[in-house]
Amino acid sequence: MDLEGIRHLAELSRLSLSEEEMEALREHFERIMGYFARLSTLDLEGVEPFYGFGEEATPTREDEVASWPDRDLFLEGLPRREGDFVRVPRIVREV
Amino acid sequence: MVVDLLGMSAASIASAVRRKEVSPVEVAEAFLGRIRAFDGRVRALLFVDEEGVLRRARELEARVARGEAEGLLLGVPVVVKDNICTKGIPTTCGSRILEGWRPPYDATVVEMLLAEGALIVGKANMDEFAMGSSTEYSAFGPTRNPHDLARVPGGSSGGSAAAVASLFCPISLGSDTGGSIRQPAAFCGVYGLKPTYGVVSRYGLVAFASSLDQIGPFARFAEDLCLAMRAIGREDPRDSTSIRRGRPRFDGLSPRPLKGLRVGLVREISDFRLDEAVESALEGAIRRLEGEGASFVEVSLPHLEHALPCYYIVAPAEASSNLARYDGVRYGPSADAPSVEDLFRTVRGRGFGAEVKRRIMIGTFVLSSGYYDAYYLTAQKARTLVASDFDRAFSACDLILMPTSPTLPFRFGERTSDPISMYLSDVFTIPVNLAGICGLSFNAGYSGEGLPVGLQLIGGWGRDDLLLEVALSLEELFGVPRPAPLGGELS
Amino acid sequence: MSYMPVIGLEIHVQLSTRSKLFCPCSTDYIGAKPNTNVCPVCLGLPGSLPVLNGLALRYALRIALALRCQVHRRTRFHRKNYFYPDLPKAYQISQYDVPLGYDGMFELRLEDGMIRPIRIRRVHMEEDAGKLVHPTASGRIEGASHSLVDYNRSGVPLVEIVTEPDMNSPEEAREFVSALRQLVRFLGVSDGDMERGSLRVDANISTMLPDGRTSAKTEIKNLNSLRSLERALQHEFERQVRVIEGGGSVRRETRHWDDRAGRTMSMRSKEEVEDYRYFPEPDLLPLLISDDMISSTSAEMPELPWVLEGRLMSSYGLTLKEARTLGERRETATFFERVVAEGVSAERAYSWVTVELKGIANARGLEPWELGITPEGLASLAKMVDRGRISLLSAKDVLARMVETGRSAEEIVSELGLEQIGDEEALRGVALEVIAENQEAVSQFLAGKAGSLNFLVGQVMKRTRGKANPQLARAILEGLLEERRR
Repeated sequence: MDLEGIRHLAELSRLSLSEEEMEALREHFERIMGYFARLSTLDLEGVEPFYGFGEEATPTREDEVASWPDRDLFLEGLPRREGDFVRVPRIVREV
Repeated sequence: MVVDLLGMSAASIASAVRRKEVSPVEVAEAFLGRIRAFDGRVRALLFVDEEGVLRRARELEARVARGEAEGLLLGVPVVVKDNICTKGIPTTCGSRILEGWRPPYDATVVEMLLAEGALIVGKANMDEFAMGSSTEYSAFGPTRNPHDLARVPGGSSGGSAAAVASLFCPISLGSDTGGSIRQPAAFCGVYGLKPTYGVVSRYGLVAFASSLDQIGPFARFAEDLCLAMRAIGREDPRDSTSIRRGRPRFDGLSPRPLKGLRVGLVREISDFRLDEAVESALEGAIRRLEGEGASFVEVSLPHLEHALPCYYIVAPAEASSNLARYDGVRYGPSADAPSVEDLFRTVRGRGFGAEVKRRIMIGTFVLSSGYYDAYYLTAQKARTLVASDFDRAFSACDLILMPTSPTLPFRFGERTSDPISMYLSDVFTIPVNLAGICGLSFNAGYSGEGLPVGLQLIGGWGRDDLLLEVALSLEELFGVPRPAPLGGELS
Repeated sequence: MSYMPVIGLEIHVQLSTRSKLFCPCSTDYIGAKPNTNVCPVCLGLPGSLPVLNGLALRYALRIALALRCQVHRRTRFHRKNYFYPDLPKAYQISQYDVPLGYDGMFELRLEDGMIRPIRIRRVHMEEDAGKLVHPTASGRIEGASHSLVDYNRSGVPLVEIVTEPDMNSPEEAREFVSALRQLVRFLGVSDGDMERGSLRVDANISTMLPDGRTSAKTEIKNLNSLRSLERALQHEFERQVRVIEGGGSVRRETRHWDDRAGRTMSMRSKEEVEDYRYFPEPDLLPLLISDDMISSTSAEMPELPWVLEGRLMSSYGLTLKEARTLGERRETATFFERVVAEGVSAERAYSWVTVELKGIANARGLEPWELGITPEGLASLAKMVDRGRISLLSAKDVLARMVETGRSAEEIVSELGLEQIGDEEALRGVALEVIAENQEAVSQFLAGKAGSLNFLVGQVMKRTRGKANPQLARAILEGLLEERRR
């Protein structure tokens, strides 16, 4: 893992990091990769990934409408607000 | 009276309140007084809702007088970990990124506690976003171990464990993702239970690692663990992972006779270095149980050594996704920024501590394109092996006995410079979360210096009731854990 | 031989459930005050958790089965992770490697009757994001100093349908979307309205060169109508051909269609591919699709459009075009059938429904069945005309009044005294008057100008204020004129 890789991950995670932080992270990565390497000794042939405990299906709910009584509390707690809208600074990159 | 109240079990307090022998207001004042006197030293709590508690205590008092009040936890003060949403009360998860945030809703477990008449006296300190094993990663300063203020209380639910040990409340709630209830319970000399995954609702628990997180109780009396589980161990339709079939029952639990109990001892423990006090506590416990007629069988968990790397891939992966929503737009402190992209980077760069950033980065990495198979997928397969190890073990025994942590509570600063050394504290607790089964830490004695030593009981899926019933019996053997002396100076 | 467009479509269908995909908030966001249909779940507040809407699952399954997909019996949701202000959790709960439906087929019936099989790559469920509002004159993002977010739409259930690139002309793409729109309406799972956003289309187009190679594909977004879809694809195809003929190569990118300017514009290069870091959603358990669920969903499937069209043709002798027109909306066809069941001929019923009733409906911006006229009511009016009790002209007027007042044909006809004069005696008198006053026309008719008869019939109609039975009037006039001839 080099600094370029760290920079890329930081951007993917939307974290602004100082140079020191990046270097510290790079070192941490090196150490922890060695740690992860232990898993490569396992024979995982035919092993299913762990996707939940048991054979139950996800529960479903009825198609009924309910209204949330505390929506005003949410609006009151907004860092930036314009009327009933949530306000955000200029979006540079449109998705 | 006041002193008595502090030492009483929650069950006794509730029944005294129900019988009108004591008023909820007296109870509240007693515990608030205790907090005021000692939390300056312990720093278990990030927020104490004095006004709210007293108001509610007065309401309960009026209802009791009218003969109207019911509730398993009537008038009982409870502390709740700061990653559990409490409506209108700050919920920070030990992080600056949620500093001052007051959720507009209550977690399901909070609703359940309130429905049973509990008084929520405060929010407990924790490692930031539940990532840590000592509470040193809290953005608001660490909590101190009430048995030795120079040592850590464990983590991430350090505040919740310390609160019970300090008699700030008879019951508290924490969360356990890799040992975050059991390890601080051991370090603080109290009981801590991580229920089977899905037994307690996660609705309102700020997510760290969704497939591993569980809310659970701390207590000084085993019967209080049972009481807490009766209140919160219920199905919740708002949580899709809340189990519907095979739920353990928490009412009518009684001490389980130890005669004939088959206890598993894990062969692979010998691969790890244990503090001497932990070794002797384990040996002592084995002797005592044998004396009561329990039988021991050696079981093997061959993938025990793979559990740590597996966990440190899966948990950060889920965390990196769960923590992506913190961006200063909809809640929490924000920042000035020329663009929304900058806003995200700035708020997150400033708001998250170093350990959280480490885990987010690792998590992003193991999920990223090109690495998913080698890391995340591999770890999820290894997880299956860890889980089946336990399945096999439980065909030979009723429950497993092993240390909770390899070491005694360590000193502040001992492990913070080497994050990986911090991770090793959870080597015996992590496998339980990976398998989704239940684990309970109980106090098995004290070291020469008076530090608590905990041991762990591990039960098969859904066997939380068995763990609790054995804990009830063990309490007859080991006694009720003593509260922290809270006088110790820096050693 | 030249270049050929290779077109695939990605369609998002907004399901018409009343509540959202993972929470009980209302999906009715058009015109609602911002951030009112919200809750901790669709706002992604810390600690919130999703619970699946069972009806949305059944609707999605209906779509998958109607598109003849294979169904993954054990499927699951995945998290698609990316940062954007309209995505409150910074991930979308979607499906990835095991979509609900895959390997399906849609037989596109073209206007000329030909059938083009369009393969369906996948059908999956996902939640919608919130809506962004940009406070600029155009409403576009360029030049906006800030933006506003409304989470009413966040969490609304969507079904994404991805086709293989089996379409080879903008017309075909348009036909496909039109047919798909009809299908989702027939299935009762969506309003299928492109203008209102309940049917969204992104198109992928590449160009096949004469030597068989294919250029890179571009994705086109912002297609808000069938017409835009067709125009945009045509434009983009021409642009790609120009690039290729100019010696360059088509760049893989996303382009935005500007309907007013009539061109596509580059949005971003596809090289900046976002890494979505998909992993299975741990807050939801697997979806297990049982045999029971499949058979009950199949059983509750309404008659599909192409089946209905076939039946309309065979049972009622309609042409393909006529069957298509009626079959565009299931309700129209049902209306038609009920009119015929009351004893009106298919031909007449077709005209009444698709011409007269639809004309009035269009003027009001409604559908024919939304006017408050019942099939039985329309049928009784039609039968009055058939029996000669009123003229067709009068009937059109009566229909308009029926819509306005909600009263029956009988009531209106008797109130306005519109019953035709079918009395031969009376008509004969009028005819004689008309002949007397219009000698010129009479002479012209006798001289061989057949059209003059129409004029004379018109005069009789005028004199009787439209109430004469025109066929009878014509017959009487003809008879009288023949007498004159002799």
